[in-house]
Amino acid sequence: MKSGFRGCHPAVNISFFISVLVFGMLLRHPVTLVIAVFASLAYYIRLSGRYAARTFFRFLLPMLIIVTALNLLTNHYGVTELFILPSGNRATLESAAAGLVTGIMMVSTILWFFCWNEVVTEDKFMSVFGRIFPVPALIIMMALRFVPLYRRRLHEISDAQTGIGRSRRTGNIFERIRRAGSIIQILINWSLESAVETSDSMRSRGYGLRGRTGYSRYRMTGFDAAALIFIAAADIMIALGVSALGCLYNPRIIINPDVSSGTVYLISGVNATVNPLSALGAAAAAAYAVLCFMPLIMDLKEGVKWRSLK
Amino acid sequence: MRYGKVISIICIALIPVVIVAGFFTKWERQYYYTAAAVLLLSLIPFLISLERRRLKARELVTLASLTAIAVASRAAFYAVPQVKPMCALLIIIAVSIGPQFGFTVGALAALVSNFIFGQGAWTPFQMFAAGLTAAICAVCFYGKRRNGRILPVAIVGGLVTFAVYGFIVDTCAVLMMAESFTLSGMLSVYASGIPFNLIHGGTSFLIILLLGSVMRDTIERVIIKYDLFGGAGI
Repeated sequence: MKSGFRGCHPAVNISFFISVLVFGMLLRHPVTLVIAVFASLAYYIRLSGRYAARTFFRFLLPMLIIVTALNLLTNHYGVTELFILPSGNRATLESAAAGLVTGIMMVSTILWFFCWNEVVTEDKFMSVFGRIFPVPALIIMMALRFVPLYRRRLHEISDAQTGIGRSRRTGNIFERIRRAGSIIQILINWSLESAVETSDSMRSRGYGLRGRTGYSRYRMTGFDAAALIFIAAADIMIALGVSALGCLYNPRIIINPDVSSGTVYLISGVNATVNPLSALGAAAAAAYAVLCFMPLIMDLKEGVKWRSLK
Repeated sequence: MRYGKVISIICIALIPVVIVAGFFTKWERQYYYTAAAVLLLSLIPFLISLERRRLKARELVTLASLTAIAVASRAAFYAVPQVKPMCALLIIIAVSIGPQFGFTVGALAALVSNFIFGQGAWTPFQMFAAGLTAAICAVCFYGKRRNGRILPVAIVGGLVTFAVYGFIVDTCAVLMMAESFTLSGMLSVYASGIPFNLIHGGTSFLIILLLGSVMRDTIERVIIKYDLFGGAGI
């Protein structure tokens, strides 16, 4: 049994990821962007170790730079001119900032999906999805089981074909496609006939009778229920504060919406305005931070417990 | 599914509401959200219809089997570089079993292959694109076996793979990347996808041309033999 966040009920896992993905794309405040990217990266490192850091530096960081550069080169809105492009268009600070925001959003979204692939395994997804749509869930589950089986069969068939002189590695591209095709044709015949056999076996064991129930090895515990309630509460808090965390990057950079009281900072060199953060916005950002770091906190808590018991 | 029909109607009625709401709200990444919500809302009635159809156990396992064949087929082509045979296989399968089941197999194959290669924001778009590609070809060629040859299927299949599948999947990239929609920015993203889509469409054309009729025979033989999916529309 996996511990920490991975040991939670699938409903907790899935609702967590949906929340962070939705709000990760809604919020474009610098603070929330930093929270999202750090939380997702930290959790991904916690899940995949050194491999995660390598992915980040080899794939995600270059992507961030490319998206920023692309936005800088194709969009010319904004009031703060950085330099003139060879094409005669202006490269502006605002378009660079907007590109950076988009890039960070994409990076954290991709990181959350990496974490999703580690946490929400097929059986977890199916135990939630299968409650709502049993028939499509059954088809997907069977297909998932068939894919590795068919790969094995493909190897068997191709070995046999190589044995009679029809290797896939010789010949021009048309011959190769034809040989791959005859392998697939054999696979289709073999697999469809055995699928019919499987289904007859299913029918004789009572598939399709009334009162069929589904087995799920996940049980909702009190802790899971508390986690679900927490996620719901955090969602409501953040949803209330979305507009209080609003920011503009076009035509000029404005962080936080206008408020009647408090100190407004005008950074004249770059035409940026920083309005004070309202109490609602601060509360929403705090809720967002706790939500994003929730899996990491759960995992670390398990680690601390383990160490103190050892 | 007791309230399946009602839920389906609600979903379809919600689609224009979502589009109008997406048009007037000023959320961040509103276009991606609107598009993804419309796709998901249109997938729900399809899932419900699959639920209500009372599939025979044989049909159910055959659907799963065809889905897995389309996904696993990639392993058979590893000696041929740059080939993604899934779309071509889906088209051949859909032409043999009809548009509705073809859409089912296409959408599920995209979902299943993403379980293996990684889910992402592109999943609903790929599901929809693969299902639609298969369904369009099936609408054109399903049940016209006796007087039809494989060349038209290959041409239409290659074109649909290039245009429909490529366009929908690239749209996902555009919606994810574009901060504000300038025509040049959008076109540059679409243009950067064209070489890949051309290769994809071209290899699909080749695969269907070289293997289509044999595979179609194989699938239809099983379908007629066991009386599945209304018997290949013949």
